[in-house]
Amino acid sequence: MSIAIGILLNGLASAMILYIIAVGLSVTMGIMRFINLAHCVFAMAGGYLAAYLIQGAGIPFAFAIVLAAILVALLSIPIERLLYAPLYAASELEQALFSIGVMFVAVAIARYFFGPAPLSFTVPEALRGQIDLGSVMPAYRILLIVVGFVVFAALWTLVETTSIGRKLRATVENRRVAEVVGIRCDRLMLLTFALGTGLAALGGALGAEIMPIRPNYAFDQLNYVLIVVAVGGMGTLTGPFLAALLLGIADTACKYFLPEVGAFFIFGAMVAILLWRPQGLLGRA
Amino acid sequence: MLGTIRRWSIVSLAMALCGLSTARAEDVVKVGMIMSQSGPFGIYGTYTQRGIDMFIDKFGDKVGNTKIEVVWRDEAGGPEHSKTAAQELIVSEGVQFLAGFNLTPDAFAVAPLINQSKTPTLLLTAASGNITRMSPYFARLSFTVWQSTYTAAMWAPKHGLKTAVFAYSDFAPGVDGLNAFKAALPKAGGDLIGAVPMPLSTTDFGAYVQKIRDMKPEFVFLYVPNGPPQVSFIKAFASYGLPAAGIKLIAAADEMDLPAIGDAGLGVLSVWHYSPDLPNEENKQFVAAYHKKYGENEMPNFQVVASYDAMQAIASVIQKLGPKFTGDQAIDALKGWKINSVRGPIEIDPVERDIIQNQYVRVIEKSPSGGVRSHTLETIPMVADPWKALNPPK
Amino acid sequence: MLADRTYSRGDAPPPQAIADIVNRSRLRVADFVPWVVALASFFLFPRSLSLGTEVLVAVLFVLSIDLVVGYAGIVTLGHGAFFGLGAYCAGVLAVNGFGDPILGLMLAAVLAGVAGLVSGAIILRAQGLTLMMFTLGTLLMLEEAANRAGRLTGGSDGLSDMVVKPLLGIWDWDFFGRTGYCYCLVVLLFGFIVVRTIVMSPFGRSLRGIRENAARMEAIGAPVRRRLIVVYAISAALAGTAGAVNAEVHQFVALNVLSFEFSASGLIMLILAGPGRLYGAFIGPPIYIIASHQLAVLDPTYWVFWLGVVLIAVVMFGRGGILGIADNLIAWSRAGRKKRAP
Repeated sequence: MSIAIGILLNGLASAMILYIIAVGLSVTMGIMRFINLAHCVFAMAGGYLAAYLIQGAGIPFAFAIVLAAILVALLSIPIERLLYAPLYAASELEQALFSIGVMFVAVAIARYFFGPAPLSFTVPEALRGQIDLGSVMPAYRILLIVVGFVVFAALWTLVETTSIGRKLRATVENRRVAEVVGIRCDRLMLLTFALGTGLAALGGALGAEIMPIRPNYAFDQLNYVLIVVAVGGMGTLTGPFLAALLLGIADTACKYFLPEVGAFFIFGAMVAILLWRPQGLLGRA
Repeated sequence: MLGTIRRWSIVSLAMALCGLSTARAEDVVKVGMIMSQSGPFGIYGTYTQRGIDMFIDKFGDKVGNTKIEVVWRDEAGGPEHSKTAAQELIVSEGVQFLAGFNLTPDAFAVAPLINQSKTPTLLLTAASGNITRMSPYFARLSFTVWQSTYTAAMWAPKHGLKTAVFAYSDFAPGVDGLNAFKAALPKAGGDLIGAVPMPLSTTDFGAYVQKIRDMKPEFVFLYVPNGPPQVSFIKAFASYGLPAAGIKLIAAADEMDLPAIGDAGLGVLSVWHYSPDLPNEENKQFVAAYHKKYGENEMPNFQVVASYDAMQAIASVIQKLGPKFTGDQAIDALKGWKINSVRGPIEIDPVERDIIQNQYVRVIEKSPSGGVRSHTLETIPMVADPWKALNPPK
Repeated sequence: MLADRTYSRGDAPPPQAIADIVNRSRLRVADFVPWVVALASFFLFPRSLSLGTEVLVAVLFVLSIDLVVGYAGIVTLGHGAFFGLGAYCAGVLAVNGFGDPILGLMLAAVLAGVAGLVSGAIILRAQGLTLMMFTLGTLLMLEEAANRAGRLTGGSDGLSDMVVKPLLGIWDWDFFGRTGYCYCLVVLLFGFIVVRTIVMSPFGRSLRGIRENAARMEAIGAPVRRRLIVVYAISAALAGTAGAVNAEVHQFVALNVLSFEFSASGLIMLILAGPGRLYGAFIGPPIYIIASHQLAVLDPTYWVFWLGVVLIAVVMFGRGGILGIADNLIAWSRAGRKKRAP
């Protein structure tokens, strides 16, 4: 029984980090239809920024992480206006290659400022212990699970109940009609982009303890984040949540019982699910 | 047609080689360095350069009237690139040595080339035991997988660690390590209760650590590449409470990763061929000079030392043979070469051309300056690559 | 040849259309330039033939990618899978005594082509991100499979015991890579003829139609999916050929050919020169490979920065890549000449 609980909790913990990073990508891809492979660059930026705030400026852990997320979100606004916006009409190939170019530039900049070694990132003493919930788990991972659910709940409330949320859903559904009805779509897209990158930064900073931050981070995590978005279905908030949960728990179970299957599981599962439902679990057909 | 082409090849090759051994106006011996400079392994290039710089600081870049010039090529892009780079270095730059090689396949790829051009090639990082058998022109200054893993498996059961789980990255070196471990552990009275293969791309080791905890071994041997996998695993190991549950960890935790590992690494053992706290005079001076040059917080590591030693090896060949020599003469000079290196006494095996060096059992402890550092517990002297002894050439 | 279904039945095709089609496929002087350059390089740069071979193999690989990405509009992140299949096929054959290079080449092409046919039939129903993920997923699974099957493929150490017999029994593989270079050049020529024939044919034009607007092509009755699968399979065979040639010339195969970075670099080389143009594949690889070699010597740690900047610049300002810019320049100078003419 404790094995089952352990697998469940482990799966949830890694799922939540991936979810927080991936949800921003899912929404921006859905609303902007932009293949932004460089999404994890913002997660990496969040990790580096948070580390700097904690170690360099002495800001307490939780504040530093939130502040890093907000800063990245703000910084992404001029980036969106200058670099991304002109390419909304470009072809998929051009968008993909543009974002690969952004990744290369980010790798070099990170290397230049922070050096090639993985970042040393320590969580505060209070969070370093273990909690026994039927299986002994690191306290920090339990925190991640909680934060993940909170983020999901907050986003869900935002999208389902507020007027901005309604406008967002409308724009994802059918952009032209939304514009006709008077929704300021480009402002909305900018807002969504900032929210998405801010969430990525949050995920990157929170996950730094488990997924080390280094210049190559964007490439390290790209596959997993893309899998979550593709399997979940672009343009939804719940899609990546469901995908992350399912894949996270199943992958953990596979690692525990059949480690020889290894990397095949996650890609095989993705291919199988996409063959069954090409639009993703909750995507629009 | 065949005859003409073959003859043409031999003539051109001979001309090229003649070009190599002609001394230039100022005697220069060029060393072609093929080592990772960009990409995820770029850090090895940095440390290799530091080793070269440390050598130049101490000994200067000349041996008598001969200058040693290192010409770099990035090892990125796969073995084809390494082969192209090696050919370019040999033919266009006229290098008399090749050095470097972070990854085993890159070394394999240049083997046929150096056989034809007879270029002595010094391995500075790659660790697969069989590389030196691929060409009589390879000599190794790094280490081999079996040297450290086999030694660790022989050491542990004699110190109360009998039951083991071997956790490793699922690629050739990891499997090699598993074989070494399996060969040695029963001989020392230990028992391998499980092996956990982990994909090379894994960043989150939580599930694996949990599984290992449930297997309840007395110790875990970790074989993953240095860098994020080491850091991640060791942190997960600590955060899941395995040290508190009495499970020990032996990992090749190297100085380059200690800052990121931090307190999570306290108590982690390693069996490794270098430690900055070694008491020999050469090392003490080296570490002091390193701090002075790169800062108090920077620690020398095995890569810096390998590069430093390689420069000494090259210098000794030039000392013995002068600036003009053939590849065969150079490799003969390297066979049996021994010095008191920074890492203790080392020797290049005269038959296998592989490195014979001490293995040090170390533990990670708290450092007075606040971080963590390695502390040497025990020395196992002059270990030759066990794989060679167990696998004699056919 | 003129079974184009855009005309109404019974009508004779307009003479202008016939002239157009014949005109297009006629060989011009400019068509010989790349081959002359390649041959000249053989004599002018005898010490850099290894680099030259790398470029030739890349050109063939990028040609195959251009066929699916540039002409048919299928954005694949994993075309290296077919390159790798071909490479390992030739490699494994050479290790086990079947070292004749031409045999290895042909078997590799067939294997890769069949793989393309099968995978195309499965995945080409998808589009956009889903299709990209299919191609990426199959690539990475293939990479892991090659990693695990160490006995067959050498795993992450690579396949190094290849014994490749002399080309046609006559030419040995020499140190300077002369045999290798000529072999690659001839294979590239054949591959190019295949691609050019496809592109110039009505089938090729229908591919462009599908890329522009698949729904419209469906509406006029073109069997869209079938055509995509066919071109995907042909392109896979070409990529497999490139892989096999690469393996035979180097007598080594490593896992890096199945990495995401390798496939991505193929896409990068394509977009630098301009996709959907027959000669894009000839311009992209030399520029990318030579420039990255030079940059890597100048600034090995940070050259990727400049690569990224160039990529961003090309996408944002140089639509259609270098050939696109060249087009614009030619049009601009023509317009200028027209103005100046009385």
